[in-house]
Amino acid sequence: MKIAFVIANAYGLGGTVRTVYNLAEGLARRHEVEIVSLVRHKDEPFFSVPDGVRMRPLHAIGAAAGKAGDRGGAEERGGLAQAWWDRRARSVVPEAERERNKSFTPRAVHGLRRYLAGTGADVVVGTRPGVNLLLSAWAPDRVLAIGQEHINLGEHTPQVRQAIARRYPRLGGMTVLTSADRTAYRDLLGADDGWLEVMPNPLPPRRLPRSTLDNPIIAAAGRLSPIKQYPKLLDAFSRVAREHPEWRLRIYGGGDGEKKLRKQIADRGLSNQVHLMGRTKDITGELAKASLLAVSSRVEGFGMTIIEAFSVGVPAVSFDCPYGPREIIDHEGDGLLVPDQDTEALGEALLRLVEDREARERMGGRALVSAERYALDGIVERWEAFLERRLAESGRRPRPHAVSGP
Amino acid sequence: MDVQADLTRIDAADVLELRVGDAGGGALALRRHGQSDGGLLPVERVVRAGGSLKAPLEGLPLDDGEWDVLWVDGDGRAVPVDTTDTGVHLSDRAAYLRRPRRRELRAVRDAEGRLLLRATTVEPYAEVDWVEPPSPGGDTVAVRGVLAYTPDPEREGAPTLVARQRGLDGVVEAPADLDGRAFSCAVPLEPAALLFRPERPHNEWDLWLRLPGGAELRLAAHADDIADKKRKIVFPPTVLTGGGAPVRVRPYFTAKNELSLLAVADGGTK
Repeated sequence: MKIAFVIANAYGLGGTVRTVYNLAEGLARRHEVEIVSLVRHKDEPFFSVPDGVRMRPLHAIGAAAGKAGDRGGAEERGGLAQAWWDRRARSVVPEAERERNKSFTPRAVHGLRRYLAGTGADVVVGTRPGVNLLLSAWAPDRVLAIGQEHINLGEHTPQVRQAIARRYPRLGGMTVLTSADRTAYRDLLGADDGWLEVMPNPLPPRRLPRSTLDNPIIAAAGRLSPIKQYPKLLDAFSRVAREHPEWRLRIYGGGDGEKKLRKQIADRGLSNQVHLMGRTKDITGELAKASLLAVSSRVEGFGMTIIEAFSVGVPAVSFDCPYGPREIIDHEGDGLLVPDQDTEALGEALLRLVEDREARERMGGRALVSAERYALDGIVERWEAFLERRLAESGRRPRPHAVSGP
Repeated sequence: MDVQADLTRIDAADVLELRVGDAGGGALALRRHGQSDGGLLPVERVVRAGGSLKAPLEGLPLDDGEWDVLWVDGDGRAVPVDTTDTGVHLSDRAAYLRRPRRRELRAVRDAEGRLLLRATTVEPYAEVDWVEPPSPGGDTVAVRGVLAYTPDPEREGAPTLVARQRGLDGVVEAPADLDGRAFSCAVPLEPAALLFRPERPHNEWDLWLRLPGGAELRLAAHADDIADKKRKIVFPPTVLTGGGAPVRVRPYFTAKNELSLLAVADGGTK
C-alpha cells in the first residue's frame, strides 16, 4: 500500500520526527512511503531521511524561505487567498494548537488540502492534533485517515480536547502510545478497540553499542523544557554528587530552557558535575557511555529515551509519572520506579544504583531483553495488521504500489 | 570471519585490549581511516589471553588522525574489527595521564560500530579535575587537578599559577601547591577587575601552571570524551568592584577545553 505521514515540521529535531522516520523506514521495506511536512525551516532535515522514503515539504519558512524564493512577496501577492486559507485552518484547528505549533501557516494548510485532494496514498497518518483534525475534515473518502497521538490526551488544552471529541470520530482509526492513554481516549470518544490501538514507538535496527556500565555517568535526555523538570533532577542528583563527587550528570537536549538551567546548575554548586551536552544525532552512542538513565518528567507520553537506554543495556531510574515509564520499566527488573514527583526518592534510587554495580549490571542485562519488545520489525507488523484491518473494515482496498525501500 | 569486540580499551602503556571471544586465526593491523586499499601497518607481538587480545601500540608510526583496526585472516583478507564498546572508560584515564608522552591514543567506536584508533600529538598540560568558584565574599577561584603527560616534577621548589591577559600584557602570579602529581591553586580574581580594559568587551585571562623547573603547563580538561566544553560546563560569575566600575569574572573552558577567566563589565552580555 501507499502510506503518507503528515508531520508539522519534519525538518526539525524532536521525538515525533525521529519516531516517524523510524516507522517510515520499517514500512518502506514493503510499502511506498512518503513524509509530508507542513513547513520546512531549512534545506536538509536534521535526521537523515530513510532510504526510499520521499519527503514532500509544503511551505518553506524562515531561513529556508529566502532560498526557496517564496518569502514575503508571495505571501502578500496571495494575500486574499492566504487569508481565506487561514480562516479555513482556524475553523478546524483550535488557536491553542496553532499557538503551540507554528506550522499551520495558510500556505501549508492550503498545500495540505491540495495534497489530500490529489494524493494516491491509501493511508494518510497525522502525527499531532492539528494535523489529525485537518485530516478528519479534509481527507477524501478514498483515503484511510489515521490519527497518531505522540503525547497523550491529558496534555492537550480543553479547547483542543473539545475539537478532538468532535472531529476525531471521523478518522478511520487512531493510535496511542500507552494503555493509559487508550483508556483516556476511549472515555472521551467511546471508541472501540479495533479503531483505537496502542502502538509503542519502535527502535530501529541498528548496530548498537552496549554500555560497559563502568563510567560514573548518569544520562538524561529530552528537550530542555519545563515538562522534563530538570531542576528536580538536579536536586535528586545533588545527593549523588555530594557522596560520590566523581559521578557526572550529562543532560542531552536543546531548547529555550538552556539559559535558565545553566544558572540553576551554577546556583546549586553543580558546575563541575552537571554537563549540558546539547543535541546529539547519536543518542544511543552517548547513552552507551553512561551507567544509568534518569527520568524526572512531570509527564512522559511514552519515554523513548528509556527504551533507547534499554537498547544499549543501561537501566533507568524514573518518577512513576504518567504515562510511559510505568508501562516500560519493570521495577527492580530493568530499572527503578520511584513515587511520582518524590525528588528525594529519585535521589535515593540513583544513589542506590550508583553504589551497587552488581544491581546495575543485572538490570542492564534485563534492559536489553526488554528493549526487544520495541524492535522495529515487530512494531511494523503490528502497524500493517492494524492498517489492513482498518482498510478492510472501512471497505477500502489498497491499490498495488511500488515498494519504497531498498 | 567477522571479529566483534565487546570491550576495547587502551591502557597507560598504550596496549590495546580487545575482548573478542574466539577470533580464530589471524593478525591485527591498522590502516589509515578512509584509505580502503592503502598499506597495512601490522601490529606485532599481540598476546592472546583467554578471550582477549592485547596489542602493544607504543612505538607504532601513527600519524595524527583516525586509523581503522583490521583483522587479517589466514588468507590475507583484512576485515574491520567491530565493537560494541564506546571506548570511553573514564577510570583508565587517570593512569594514562601519569605517563610522559607526546602521542595520545584513544579507542573510538564509529556510528557503524567499527573500531577506530584516534592518534593525537599532545603536549604536557595540567588536567583540571575541579574548579571551585569563590564562596560569598571571596575573590579567588580554587582549581585542583593533576599533571598530565609530564615526567614526575622536581621535588625542590614550589609551582606558580600564572594568569596572562589574552592579547595584552597583564600577568598575575600566585603560589600553587604540588603533592606528587596533584596540583592545587587559588586564582586571584581581583587583578582581572583592576586591569579590566572596558574598551574590550571580553577580557580573557589564560591560566598556566609553572613547575619548579620552569616548564609551563596550560590548565585544561582533555581527559574525558567531551570534545567542546565551552557551552557544556558553566561556572557562576563573581562581581568585583575593586577597580571602579563593577566587573563580572567567571572561569570558563575555551573552545580548546583550556581553562581561562572571562571578565566583562557587569551588565555586559556574558
